[in-house]
Amino acid sequence: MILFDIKNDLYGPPSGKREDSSAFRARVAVSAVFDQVEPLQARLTRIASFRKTMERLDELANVFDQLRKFAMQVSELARVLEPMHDFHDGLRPVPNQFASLEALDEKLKRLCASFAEHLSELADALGPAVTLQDQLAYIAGAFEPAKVLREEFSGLAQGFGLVSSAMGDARNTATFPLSRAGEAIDNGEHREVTRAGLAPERD
Amino acid sequence: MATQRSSFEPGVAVSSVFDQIGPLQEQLAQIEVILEPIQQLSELASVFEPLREFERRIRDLAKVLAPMHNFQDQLQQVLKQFSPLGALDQELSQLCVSFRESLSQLATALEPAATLQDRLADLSTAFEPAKALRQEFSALAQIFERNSTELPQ
Repeated sequence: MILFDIKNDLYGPPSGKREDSSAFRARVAVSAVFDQVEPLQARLTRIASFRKTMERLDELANVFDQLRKFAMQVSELARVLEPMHDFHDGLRPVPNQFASLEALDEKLKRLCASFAEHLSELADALGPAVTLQDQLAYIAGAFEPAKVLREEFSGLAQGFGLVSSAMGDARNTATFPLSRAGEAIDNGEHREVTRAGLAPERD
Repeated sequence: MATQRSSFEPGVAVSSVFDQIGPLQEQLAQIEVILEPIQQLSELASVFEPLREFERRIRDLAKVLAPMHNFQDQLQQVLKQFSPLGALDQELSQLCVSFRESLSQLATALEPAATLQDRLADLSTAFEPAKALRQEFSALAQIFERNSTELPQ
């Protein structure tokens, strides 16, 4: 994909208005280059609007501490109910002699069934949170280039700044010219930026 | 009346236990609502690829413009003798200033995305207990389920 045609942007289209196309308009030329990334900048603005959603998620994440406590309580209850299970196992061989306990059996059965039902519902209710966690991990990875790109665009901006300030200072020679700024970013070099230019490589 | 009060209703008893975590279940329901905006955010992550391409082209352009820097250095040495060239010098300076401004703006526009990346990583960690809790509650449900079916008929 061709994002911009620098020749066209700097000098205008070849068949354009003669008087205007022959004149070089620095600001207009640069604007034309960056107009092409305007839709991308609009998307970056939309990304910024997600700050509140993140805050809300931060608050909602507190739910897990309380659910953890509840899970421990229910685990404890399951242990407490274990002897009841053993008791009923003991009754099983002699059901006819304890027919009057049938109602109790039924209630205990319903108690366990009801617990099972509610706990299943709770496990299901956690499904979206599990999905969200997967998505958050994925998006966090997908957003990793943001930091690198920000640094690279800042580095390039400084590179152009060096040229303009060096030009303004007339004889203020950059120790690390603009052409090397791009290469330095390619190589992952991090050098101190001075008014005169990027500082020379340190050993 | 006395018998009614003392009678044990399993469904009611269990409901009252789970009523206590009603607000927590509401919070879980709110998490579900946020799934859709998060999906949109996921789609917005595709912005970085064209930005990477744009950055590569600007970097190439910076290399191409380097000789202009040398030229302008030379130009400034003769400006006193050839003052009409001052306008050209100004235009070239303006070009660099404009690029610097636009690139700085773009870097600034990326700031929220960079901040959000940290936030997303933190939230991903904060939501990690969800998977373990779901498994624990499922396991507990199975224990109770087994007890309800294995009890004597």
